[in-house]
Amino acid sequence: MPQLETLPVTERPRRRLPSWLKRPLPEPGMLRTEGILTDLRLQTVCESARCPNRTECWSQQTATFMILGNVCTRPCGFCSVPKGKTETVELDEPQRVAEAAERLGLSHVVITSVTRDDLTDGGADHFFHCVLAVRERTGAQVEVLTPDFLGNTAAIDRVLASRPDVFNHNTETVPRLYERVRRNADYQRTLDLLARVREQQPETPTKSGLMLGLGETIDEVLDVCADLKAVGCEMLTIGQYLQPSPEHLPVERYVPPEEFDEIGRLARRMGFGMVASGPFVRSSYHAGEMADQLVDGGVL
Amino acid sequence: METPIRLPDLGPGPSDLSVSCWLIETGDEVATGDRVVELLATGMTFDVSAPICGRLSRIDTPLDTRVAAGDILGWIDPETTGE
Repeated sequence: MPQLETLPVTERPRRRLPSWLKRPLPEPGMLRTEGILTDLRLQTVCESARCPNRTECWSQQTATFMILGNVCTRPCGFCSVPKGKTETVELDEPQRVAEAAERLGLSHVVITSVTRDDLTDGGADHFFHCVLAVRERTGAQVEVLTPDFLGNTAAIDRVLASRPDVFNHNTETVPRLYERVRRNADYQRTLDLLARVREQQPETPTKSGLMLGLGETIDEVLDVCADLKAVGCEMLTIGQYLQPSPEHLPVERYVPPEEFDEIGRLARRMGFGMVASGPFVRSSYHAGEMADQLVDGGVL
Repeated sequence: METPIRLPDLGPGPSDLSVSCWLIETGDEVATGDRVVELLATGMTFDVSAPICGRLSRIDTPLDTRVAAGDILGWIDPETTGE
């Protein structure tokens, strides 16, 4: 019998997950969502990032569209989106995203992208056209979840020119872990982006997200929350990091639901308009409800 | 006649599935809908239930076996219930 340590990581026996990470079996509605996305040759971050919520979301016929291809230029250690040679930007993609949103009957559409540091504007103009196409065809609210555009303010402003209903940019983790988790990103650049959006378009709510379980402390998490609040961020998502494959960063800790509740409570006390904190929370999980609740001044 | 506990078609949802825990042992009685086996996918876990009531007569997929839609995970013998 070979020793565990000598086995390739892909062949090692896997641990059980905590009971709070248990999900129901998928429902048939998933297949219709998959059919529409395949039909229109669209990528979703649900699949590319192996999101644990895709069963639930796709069953309810919602999805987060990932534009600008399925290959990313950044080597983030937590993310399973493929890295490498990028794909040509497809000019008809805005129309295909809009058609999918219409066929799925979406009232709140989330558009995200791979990071495209190879493009002069980071893909901002493509974001602009996707937002306009979806809004024109469906009248839906549109939330963008963007990369940092390397801090290019003209790119940020180009996305803003489409007047998204929510502008989301994820912080992902605490600054001490950036080098390991989010290489080639910069904590201050993330804060600056959110501040820029707030300054240029104060009526557009900004949103950011954090993953827990990568080795951060609660104090560090609360410091990030305070930094986000200081740049006017109104919506916050906090969820459990889940290792997408053995080749990705390991989970340092599974944070219990009651700890998520407590962090959420402390974040709300800082004054965020909307906080979602729980093991399965992701940046676009129940995004429409979150945006509506913010308008209503409620708590999710 | 034995009835298989079959992994249903999960569509494009969970991938890279393996058996993480059998929740009952061979010979244990189960009712329809009882959770019998836990599966692990990327970042999530879920249970497969007994399709009929009876006794778990056989396990085809022990711990850590990789499984896919349609695979038979184990068998339930309805005739041995209540013996």
